[in-house]
Amino acid sequence: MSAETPIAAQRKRAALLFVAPMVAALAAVAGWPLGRTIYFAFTDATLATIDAPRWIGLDNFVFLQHDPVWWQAIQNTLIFAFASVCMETLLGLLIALLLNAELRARGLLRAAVLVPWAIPTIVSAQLWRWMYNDLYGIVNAVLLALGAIKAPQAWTADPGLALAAVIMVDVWKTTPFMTLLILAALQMLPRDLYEAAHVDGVHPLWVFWGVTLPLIWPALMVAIAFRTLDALRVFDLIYVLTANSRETMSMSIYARQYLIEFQDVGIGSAAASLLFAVIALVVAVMATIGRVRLGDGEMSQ
Amino acid sequence: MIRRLRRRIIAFARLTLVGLVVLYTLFPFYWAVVSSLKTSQALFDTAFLPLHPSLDNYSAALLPDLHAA
Repeated sequence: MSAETPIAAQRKRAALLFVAPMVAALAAVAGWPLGRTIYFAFTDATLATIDAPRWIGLDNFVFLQHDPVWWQAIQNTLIFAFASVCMETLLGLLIALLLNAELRARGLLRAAVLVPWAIPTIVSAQLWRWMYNDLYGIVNAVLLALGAIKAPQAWTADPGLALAAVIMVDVWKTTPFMTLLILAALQMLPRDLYEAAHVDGVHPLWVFWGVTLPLIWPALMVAIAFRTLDALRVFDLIYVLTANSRETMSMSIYARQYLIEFQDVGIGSAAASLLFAVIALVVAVMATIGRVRLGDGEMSQ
Repeated sequence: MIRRLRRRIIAFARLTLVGLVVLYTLFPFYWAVVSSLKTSQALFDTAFLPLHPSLDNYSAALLPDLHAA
């Protein structure tokens, strides 16, 4: 390493020069707001005193530690992310397998299935809010007609139902995203493997378990990672459906409430910083697990 | 004979599943369109078809001045 040729040194300098604008742009649009938020988390800043914040150390974090609403928000966010991503993955896989088969009007079907994902969340959340309405909603009408429920339910207001109702809307909205990514992976699979399995008379379930699943695994992992990160910072869907209700409040909604409604920039920033930390932790865990799996795959090949 | 029957059952099951998936994904939009064609009183019943379709809501959205007057 010590004996670097002049050309190698020059190349390194050129590379740094090319990367510099990118790093500068990232530092300006991502690094600066992030650093400011983390700084405010240690101050008593409010919207009124944001120009002259006073350093108060860990007080904001101590406040959060003693706020049951915050712990509830963490719990809600984790339940929401875990449940919705699990259901979206399973349902997305099923629909992708279904649409991957030879079907008439396949293109049209794929387009139709993608619609919920293409509509802005605010719009689809409002659609569902109306459908969930306890008095005039179609969800109650259909379930009553089917005999699934005895009495109309207040889906978004009942503490025992609200989180599940929100999760169901997210599943409806984001399953197309999973379907799309899994379908793309399915189309890349080599046909000859399936022909070989067919010739050998392997049961379709075993073909799925032994051929399809291992081959789409990397794509599936990427899709799950994307969805998990997205689900952890969920805001708009829950906010439209249930506003600041405690039963469904996510960490983002908690942070927004303190930042905007209570104008307490310090506590809001502390909540936002912790949300950032949780997401970073999940990314780290996922990257580690992903790498281990990748290593296994290479060993067995 | 049995093989053909089996194939038909599978094709039928697949078609049913596809139908259910499309129903699940598109029903909320269908419902939005139906609701948009209902008058404000009809909005509060849950008929699956707009029995007396009206374009009032659209004209209210597109020509707010006319409705305010």
